[in-house]
Amino acid sequence: MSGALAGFALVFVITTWTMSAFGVLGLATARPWLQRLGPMAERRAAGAVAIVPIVLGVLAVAALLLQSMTGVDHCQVHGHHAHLCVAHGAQWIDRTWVVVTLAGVAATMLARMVIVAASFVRGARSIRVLHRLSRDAGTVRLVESERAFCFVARPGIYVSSRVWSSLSEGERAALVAHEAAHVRQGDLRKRAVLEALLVFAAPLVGDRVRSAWLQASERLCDAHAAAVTGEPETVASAMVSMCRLHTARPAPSFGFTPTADELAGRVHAVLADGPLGERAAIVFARIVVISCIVLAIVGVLAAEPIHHAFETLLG
Amino acid sequence: MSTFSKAARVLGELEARVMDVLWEEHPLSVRTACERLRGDHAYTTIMTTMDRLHKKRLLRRRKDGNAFLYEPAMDRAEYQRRVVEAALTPLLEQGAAPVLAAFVEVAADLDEKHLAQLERLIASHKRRK
Repeated sequence: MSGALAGFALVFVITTWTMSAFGVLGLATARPWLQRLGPMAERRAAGAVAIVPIVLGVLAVAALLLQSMTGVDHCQVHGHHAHLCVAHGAQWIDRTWVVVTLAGVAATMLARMVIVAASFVRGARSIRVLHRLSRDAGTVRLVESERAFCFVARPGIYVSSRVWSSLSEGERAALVAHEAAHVRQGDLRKRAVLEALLVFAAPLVGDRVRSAWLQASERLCDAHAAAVTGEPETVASAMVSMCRLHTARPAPSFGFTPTADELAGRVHAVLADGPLGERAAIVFARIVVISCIVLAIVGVLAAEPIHHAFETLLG
Repeated sequence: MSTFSKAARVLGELEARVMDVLWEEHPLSVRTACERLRGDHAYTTIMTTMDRLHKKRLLRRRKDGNAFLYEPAMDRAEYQRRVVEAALTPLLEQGAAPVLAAFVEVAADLDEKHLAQLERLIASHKRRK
């Protein structure tokens, strides 16, 4: 049984990693087009690249298990490779490359899980301390600091006193509207889910997906802030002012560091007042869900060839 | 992580009260600190607390006869600044970012030229309106 499990785990990893690598390539290729559709569509696409490979991995294993559980035994007539079924799968665990691959993958995923969990625990603890030290300034909580920062974290919006005193009233309103949009969209919760999903992604894929998702999220919140304040120029000006403060007193980067082009992209996007891509995002989500359902049906109907294809490929 | 940043996170209620007393008046012996705390806690509890604060580098001490005299290693403002820094460091520098969404994050290669360009763009956009 454990041998067969090793075979199934291998299929899951190969499917998930291959699909996430293709997904990120597709995302990079389609990015200019997605940006024209709007940040909501871009964000949905990045989310799909995180979740669809896992769904496909599960479907591939389900197709193998289905074949195995229905009692169809093709193992007698296919003696030329190792078998991916519960009854005859023991030989997978005897193969060194399988054990090494699975151990490497498991170690990678475990390390990612630990890093993500640690960053959440450490972050939550720091926020608790910061909350205690900050003072209520109406819509935001002010933190006495010479650093230039503004972020939203449960349970509030935290701004450094330096930023708050440097920005104009309009820029402050833009900043608050931007952060409020993060709260309204449930971005912190969604980010946590994204981080959990990216644990399963192929190496190097996670950073690219996260970066695309974060940039699209920021553009989306910029657009919301522009709509709330009615002044896209003020939102853009707040961004540039914040960067100027950073430049005046450089600080090490956050998890995602935009380049000058990315900041310019955000400024241009908010000034252009382009579409949010709401409709495109809905259409995109429907296409992804329907595709997954179709693939599940194909998996059931073509369980035998899929099963054999994986055995031939890996065995 | 420095001893201070660890200390900043775990400063308990009694530790904070002891620090408050010492910021108001210093140097103090354990016995005097006990009196300032209106005898709410046993002498040994305060002694242990002050010793712990000394180990966390929040208090300095010197011998005065058989007893120690304690005084804060920094003033209240400096202490608060350091606590804020200690809390911010994991958020801004050590990868604890998933718990927050920042408005504008640090742009490594942003220079004055880029910023001025963007400001001109914003200004021209404003004028067109």
